[in-house]
Amino acid sequence: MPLACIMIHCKPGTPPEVLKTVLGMGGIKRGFEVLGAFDVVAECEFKSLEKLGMTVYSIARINGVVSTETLIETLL
Amino acid sequence: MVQICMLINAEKVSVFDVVKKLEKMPSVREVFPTFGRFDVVAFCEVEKREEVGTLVKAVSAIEGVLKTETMVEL
Repeated sequence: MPLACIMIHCKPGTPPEVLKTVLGMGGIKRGFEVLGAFDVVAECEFKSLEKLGMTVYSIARINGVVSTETLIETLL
Repeated sequence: MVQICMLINAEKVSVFDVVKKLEKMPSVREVFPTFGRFDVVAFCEVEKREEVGTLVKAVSAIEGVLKTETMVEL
């Protein structure tokens, strides 16, 4: 199954809670808090672009999430 | 273990080779090419935080790698 890297920018103080919610979602293989341009990074395995879109949309609606950036695996 | 997400910019003609070389590195758990601001994404794991610098140097030394952005687990 293809992979995607979802990078999440959060309001101050909310990353731990956001991470906990993200890790509880289907398709999320790993996730962790980071410093820098983003606050949480997650690796997602998805069956279809629609499913990935729904996952990213769900993440974007978590309380504390400001924005997301998703890098999708492409076939070379 | 410390988890790392590396975002890599590579010469467009070298992306496939860079991915192949990264796949052989023991610390790399998942690697895939992508479009957008970056060309390759690599999820890695190292034993200790002190090894992050060594890993970044090794990845930066791969022929075709132009720039890396590294996000280390808190």
